[in-house]
Amino acid sequence: MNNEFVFLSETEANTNSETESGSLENGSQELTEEITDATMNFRIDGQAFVDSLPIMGKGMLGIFLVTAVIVITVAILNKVTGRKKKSENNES
Amino acid sequence: MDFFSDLFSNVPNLFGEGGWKYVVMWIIGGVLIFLAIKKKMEPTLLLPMGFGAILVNIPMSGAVEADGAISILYNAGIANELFPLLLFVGIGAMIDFGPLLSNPKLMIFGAAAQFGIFFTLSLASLFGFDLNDAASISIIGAADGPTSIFVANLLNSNYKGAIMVAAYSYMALVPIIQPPVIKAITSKKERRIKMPYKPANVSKLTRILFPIFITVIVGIVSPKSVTLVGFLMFGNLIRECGVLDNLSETAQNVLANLITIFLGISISLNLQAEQFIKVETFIILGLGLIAFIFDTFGGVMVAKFINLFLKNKINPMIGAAGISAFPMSARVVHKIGLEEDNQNFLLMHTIGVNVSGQIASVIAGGLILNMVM
Repeated sequence: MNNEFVFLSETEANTNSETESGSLENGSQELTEEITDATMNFRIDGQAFVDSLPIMGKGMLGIFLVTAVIVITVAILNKVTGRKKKSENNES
Repeated sequence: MDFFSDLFSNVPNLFGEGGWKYVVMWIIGGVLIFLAIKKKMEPTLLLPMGFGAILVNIPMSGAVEADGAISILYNAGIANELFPLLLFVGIGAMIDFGPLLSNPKLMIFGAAAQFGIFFTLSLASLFGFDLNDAASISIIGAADGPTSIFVANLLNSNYKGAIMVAAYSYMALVPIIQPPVIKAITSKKERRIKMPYKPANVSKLTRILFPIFITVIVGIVSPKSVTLVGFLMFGNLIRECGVLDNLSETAQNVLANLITIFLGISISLNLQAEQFIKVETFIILGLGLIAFIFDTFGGVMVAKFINLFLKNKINPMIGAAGISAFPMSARVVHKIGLEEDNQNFLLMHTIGVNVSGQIASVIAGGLILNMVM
């Protein structure tokens, strides 16, 4: 028995319930269609989750790297403009 | 009798197949309006969205026809991402990056508080959403309406309506979402840590060069987000240059208000019943909430990690202010600090972290676009 629940849009659910009806006993066919229409099932797609983990890793690493560049840039800016201000004060 | 049957010829559509969905959307629109007016939750956007939800869900509504007003507005400003970008000019003009520039290390927490975006992307993939939709859903965690609209549009997500409702609703719910999460992962002793504020002098030249440098740096890393970061920084440059006070004033007030009106009502094109009343909508709302929770978690946990190496500890709560909901998140964290110790003034630190979150959320949006497109 397939334990995987399938997450479907309403249209797909209606279509699938029709295509799967041949494999069901007559008595439960209508009930299954109703359930499929009334309740949407999840597809727990472990492979898609695993495939997305590199995106999570690269994304967080990317944000921290870009942030580090910005922090260093601002620190340099503060230092350079701060020095110029000091020398202006000394001259005056 | 013919007259009356013609007059009320649209009524049977309410009782026909799927007619109940219109009524549900009217109720949802009413709830958004109620939250805007009575609870004062992001009224600038929830009220137009709520009213728009009613407008577009009247059967045979002329507003959503090809030449309907809402369709025209949508194509003019949402489909091409123009309205969010123009709004960003106004937002950039409103933001004072001074507290961040005087202590740029605070940006680390802004970056950390985007963790919820990437975590939610993986979670949405786990639940069966394709990568474009998962990425669009995850960007709710940016806690930034224009970024959410921009990314969802560019990725052509099938769930723009749900994403936009979630993004703006949760931004307004930050005072409710964040405190329990913060209190769950911090101790009382940590929340009572005081952080004296010693403002460093930030020169006018730094304030002027900052938006230019940010645009270049972020644009090089993520060319697809150049307009997003560029318009935000353009607004800030108008503010900081000191010679365009009238334009700054206009951007902060007139422009921001005008665009907000048009954006709020035109977003409602995505709130048509057929698109919105789906199980996926509720899953997206749930995922959006998870994104906000893990944003808060990420910011606080990085602060706690950094504390392991510091002699003078930082209050880990300030990490939570890295969520881009400005200035609400900053005020929420400051308020929790005061509740723990009424002499603990964290506001200037939290504001610095909060504005860094604004930049970090745009960077996150750009990286998402880079990796997914």
